[in-house]
Amino acid sequence: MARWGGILCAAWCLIALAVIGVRVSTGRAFDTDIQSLLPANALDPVLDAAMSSASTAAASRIFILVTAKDSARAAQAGAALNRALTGTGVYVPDSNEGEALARWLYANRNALVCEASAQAFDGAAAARGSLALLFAPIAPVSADLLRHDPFLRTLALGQCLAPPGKPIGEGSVLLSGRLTRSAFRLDVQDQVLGGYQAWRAAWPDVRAARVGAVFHAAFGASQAKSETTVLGIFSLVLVLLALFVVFRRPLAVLATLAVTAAGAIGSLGAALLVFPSVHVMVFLFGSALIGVTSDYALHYLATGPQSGWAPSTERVRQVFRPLLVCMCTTALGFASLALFDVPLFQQVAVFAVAGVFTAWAFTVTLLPLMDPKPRNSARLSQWWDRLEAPFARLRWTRARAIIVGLLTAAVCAAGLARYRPLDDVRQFQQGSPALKVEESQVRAATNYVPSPSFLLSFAATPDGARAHEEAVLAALPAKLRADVFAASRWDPSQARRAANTAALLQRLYGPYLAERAALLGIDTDPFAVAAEADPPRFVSDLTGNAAGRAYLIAPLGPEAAKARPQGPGALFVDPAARYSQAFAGYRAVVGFAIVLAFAFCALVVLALYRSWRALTILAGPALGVVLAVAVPALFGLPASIFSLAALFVVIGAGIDHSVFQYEAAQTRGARIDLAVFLDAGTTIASMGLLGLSQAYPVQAFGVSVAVGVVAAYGFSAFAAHLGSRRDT
Amino acid sequence: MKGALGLALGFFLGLMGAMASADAKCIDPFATLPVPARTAFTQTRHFQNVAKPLVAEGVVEIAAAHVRWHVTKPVDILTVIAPEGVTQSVDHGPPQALGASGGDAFLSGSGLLHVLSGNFSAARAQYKITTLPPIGGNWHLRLVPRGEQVARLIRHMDVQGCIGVASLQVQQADGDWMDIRLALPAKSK
Repeated sequence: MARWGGILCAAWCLIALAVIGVRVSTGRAFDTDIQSLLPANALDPVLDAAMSSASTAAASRIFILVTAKDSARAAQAGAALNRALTGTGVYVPDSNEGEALARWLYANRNALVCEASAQAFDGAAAARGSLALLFAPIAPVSADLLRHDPFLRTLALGQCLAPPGKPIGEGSVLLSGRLTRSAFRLDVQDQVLGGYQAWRAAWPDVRAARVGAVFHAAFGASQAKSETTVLGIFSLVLVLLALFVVFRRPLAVLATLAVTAAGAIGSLGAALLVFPSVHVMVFLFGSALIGVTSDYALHYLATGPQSGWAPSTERVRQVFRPLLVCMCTTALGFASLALFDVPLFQQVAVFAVAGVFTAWAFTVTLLPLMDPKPRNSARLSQWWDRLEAPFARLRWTRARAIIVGLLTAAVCAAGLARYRPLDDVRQFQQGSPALKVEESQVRAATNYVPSPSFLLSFAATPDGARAHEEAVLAALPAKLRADVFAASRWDPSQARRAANTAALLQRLYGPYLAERAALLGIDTDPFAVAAEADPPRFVSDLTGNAAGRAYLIAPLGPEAAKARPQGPGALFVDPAARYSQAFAGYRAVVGFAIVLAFAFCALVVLALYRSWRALTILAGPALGVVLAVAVPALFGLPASIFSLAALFVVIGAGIDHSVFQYEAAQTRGARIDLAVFLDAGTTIASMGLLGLSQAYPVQAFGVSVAVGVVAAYGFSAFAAHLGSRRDT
Repeated sequence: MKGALGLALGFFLGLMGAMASADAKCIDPFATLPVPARTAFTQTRHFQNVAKPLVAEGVVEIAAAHVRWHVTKPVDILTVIAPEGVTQSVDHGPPQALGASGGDAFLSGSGLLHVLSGNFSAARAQYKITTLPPIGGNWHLRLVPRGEQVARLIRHMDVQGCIGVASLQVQQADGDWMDIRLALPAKSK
């Protein structure tokens, strides 16, 4: 049985390794998108899709202000940067979109007007303005264009429909464009950053200021990767050092490494099998698993010196039940995270459950083959006993219990009084200070102020959505209307098109066409050519369909956003506020989920021990949970969905400690204090390190886990003591 | 499109800016030419397969920091190009910003303001300039845009002059062309 289990475990590890190799080689295995942290189904499908579209469109934009000693140098450097970015294959400069825009405007020149409505169209002004284009030496006018567009509507619309901007100063050029693939993909970030940095090296005398989600994402990914490496290595070193000191055998260290590696391979392999990509934050959460999975090896290895290296079947029998309880409760604790509709937590759940299961399976099937009886077994057993001895002197007394109880109550009261929730997603991630400075430089030079808010118009048909958007815009003052980038201005509803065409006929072509034809000396027919054209990319990016409804997104500038425009079939959307609202809602659900996790664990404990007294196992984790909330609050760290998610880890890890303490007390078997201390110590060290992260979500998670596990460890001994007393 | 508009205007006006004072001796066009003040111009636009060209007349005023291109016939249009941007007013109406950020960025980013003040050497960064055989004792230059965006609009420009630019022919990429002739420069007001 054990043999087959070992074969299956080895086979799974090899499969997981192959999955990791294949998925990593595609370059799409890892995800750095902050949106992946958000609840998946908390919003209306149309709103959800619109927020995703708006975010994708906004995230794909890149602006780079290039400044040099003079305009010529800036132009040369800008052209070189344009070539470098275009050469990456993932960047398209806006200038490339000009032809598509011109085709669209030409095809729709008789259905669009510069004014906000057909009623406001001024035919005389349009005729006069076209003369300016005609006689100024700058207009790209041709005979063909004049025959079919004698009032140069195509050029005029290109001028008036574009949002107002600010001229770029002498010595600077502004590059703008979009990414053709997600800014949050690591390979895209590497390509863009690679191209940009190569250009920087080639133009050292030129300054550049960047705006773009891809640069922030690359910074975040770099920081997360660096933290993962540092925290993971430090955690591993601490664990291995502790093991070497206790077991005094390199083999024990290697065996622990093997179990930890198996857990890591199993967790990542399963996550990559289940999800299209795994968020890098999962590794930060998942690095805590090193402390958990190493415990399994530790408990098995401890049976060596404790039993004088009894036969491996006997040693496995000693730890099988407690390890099974630990594995099941830890897995259930992490699995409870899947109850949240947060993609990140679902990934953590799969990652962690697969990891602890693989590590457990490895420990009870393959690890025994790696730990034969050493030649100096007697000396090692004596060393173990020496280390174990001090724990015998640590016992709960009534006085100690009262003091600790009062202290705990005081901390809880003070902490809960200072409890402060944090749901604002804008405060979850701190961006690069250097990039913020660069953004302010671009803003100062161009007046470009990105705003995440937008007007969402929706209806059963695209035309209905356009009509809703037009109605909201019509109700806005002209100044605010100019602060809205609306697709319906470029691609109006059928009703608006008909009205525009009628206005053009009555107020422009009717009174002025003959005169214009005489001036030009050619025959003109503005309606002769019915050209077809696809909407330009920036218009089509603002449209979409979801749940059988069509929608339009109209990005709002800061002034328009303040007015919070909306109307029938049109909503004002502030994505950050919506997401924050969703997070706040999930915080309320966490309380229920924690109770559920305790209920699952209670069922497992009752099923395996068949005694009500076994429920004392849950006392330590329960107090750990309370203190994990209270202590960070006492020190001013706000509570969020991330810190509350850490409570599931506290439950899982706390039950581990309690189970072994309880087993030892119940069976009157070998003393387990050293093993549990080591177990808790390594777990606390590795998880507590997450509190050193610069990213708030990880920091909050780490601090809560560290505090909770310390408390759960301390109270687990008390619970075991209580359970054993009642049995006496 | 706006960038191309700004570029074309800037370049045309820049060449006007290369006009020199009345001096019988031809000046090396690649030397820094004196900046003129005001001069009249005639602009004739020829369209393919159209017999009647569009003719405009006006006055151009050039300073180190701005150019005022003022068409007075057949309609009054004043175009002002400055580092702050390009504005245009029709029939003495209020000036309207032209080209929004795109055109202005293109204009200033192309170094055209240097050209406008008569600095042909600086123009080499954006234009390939070749010397053609002289016509009637005047020097004769051909300017071919280096950038793709400008080349989509302009195939090349032929410039003639002696002490400054006297005439300019712009060959558009679509086959149409334009002649601009300048009168002798007048004194600045």
